[in-house]
Amino acid sequence: MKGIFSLMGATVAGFVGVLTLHSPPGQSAAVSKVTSPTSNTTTSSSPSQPPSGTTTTTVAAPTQNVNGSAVGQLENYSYGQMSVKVTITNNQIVGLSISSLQTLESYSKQLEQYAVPILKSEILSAQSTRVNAVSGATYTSEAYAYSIQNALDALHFK
Amino acid sequence: MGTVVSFLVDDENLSHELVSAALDEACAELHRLDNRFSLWKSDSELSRLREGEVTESSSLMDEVFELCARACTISQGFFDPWIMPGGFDPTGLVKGWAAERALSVLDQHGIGAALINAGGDVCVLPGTTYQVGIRHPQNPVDLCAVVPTTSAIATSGIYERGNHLINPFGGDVAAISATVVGGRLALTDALATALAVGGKSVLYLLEGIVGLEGFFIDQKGGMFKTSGMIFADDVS
Repeated sequence: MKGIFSLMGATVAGFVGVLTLHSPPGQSAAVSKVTSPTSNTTTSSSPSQPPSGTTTTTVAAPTQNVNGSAVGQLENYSYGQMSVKVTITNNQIVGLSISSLQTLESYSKQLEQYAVPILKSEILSAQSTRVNAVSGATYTSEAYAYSIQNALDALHFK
Repeated sequence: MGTVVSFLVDDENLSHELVSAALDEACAELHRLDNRFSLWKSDSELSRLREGEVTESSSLMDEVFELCARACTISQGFFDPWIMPGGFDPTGLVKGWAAERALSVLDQHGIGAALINAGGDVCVLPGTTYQVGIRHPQNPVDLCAVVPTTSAIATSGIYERGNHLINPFGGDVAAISATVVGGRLALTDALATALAVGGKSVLYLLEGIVGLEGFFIDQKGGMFKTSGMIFADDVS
């Protein structure tokens, strides 16, 4: 089982990233795209903000199996900061967990309880055969996606 | 729109270049629509219309007006973007409509099987059945249902963003989670909002529409569904 992971980043009017997951042959590929309103100051101050302009990076299949875990850097989201731990076995994302979540107001307890598990299942479901997608509201997605990307980079998972 | 859009593309027998080009163009279409319909951007056409800075609407805006009017009629007023505070707010329809347009871009590039999930509103190219899990509104690590989907499915609820829904007829919002399946996503999306607001009143309306099914979960955790609503067996 050989996985291909490629990252495409595109910036339009501020702050946009595209995360592509190509599953092993025989399965579908999944892409997560993140958009955020340019007026949202918390996201535009994100430390991993991609450069302005349009960039596209496509990386070929890894020559070796990637295994291990990494914690992505802390990312700002609308109501605080979060980071994500990613675990990879044989080029498959097998685990995603919230490594740390700092929230600002009581409102964010809602996010802790609801939004985060939604996002987790969304990313994992891209590689699962039981469910192709999850229907329901999403919110903290952007910070989540960038922290995952950061963790994947740390694992040299391309 | 500030949401995550994920693409699931069956790339069997398709070149990487073709899939990449199709995804790039689908993303570009989403950005164009976001620039036009975002309420976060003060220079979007929608924001400028609401502020009265422009009076002439584009053909895309006219299409959204028309779809909103249809959704308002079908839902007997339970979806009504004209009564929102702050002025005309088609957000409950535009996200699904934008995903629909992005999906047609994939289709035009020769992709045969694909799913687009725009913040929980899902549309798929015809010919493939996808299993779509519905987030459980009270127990977030679980799904409350899995629904086989061949066209579109949308879920509206007050469990994540708090109560952002408004009942045009006053009173409470009926459901904590409402799902509509079938038809085209622009209308499915709007009707999921209507079902969340109107509950049984809108469920009866759906019962009378061929090709649309739905269910909702009320504040007490009770589930109500149309007679033709089909769930996958493996809800676990």
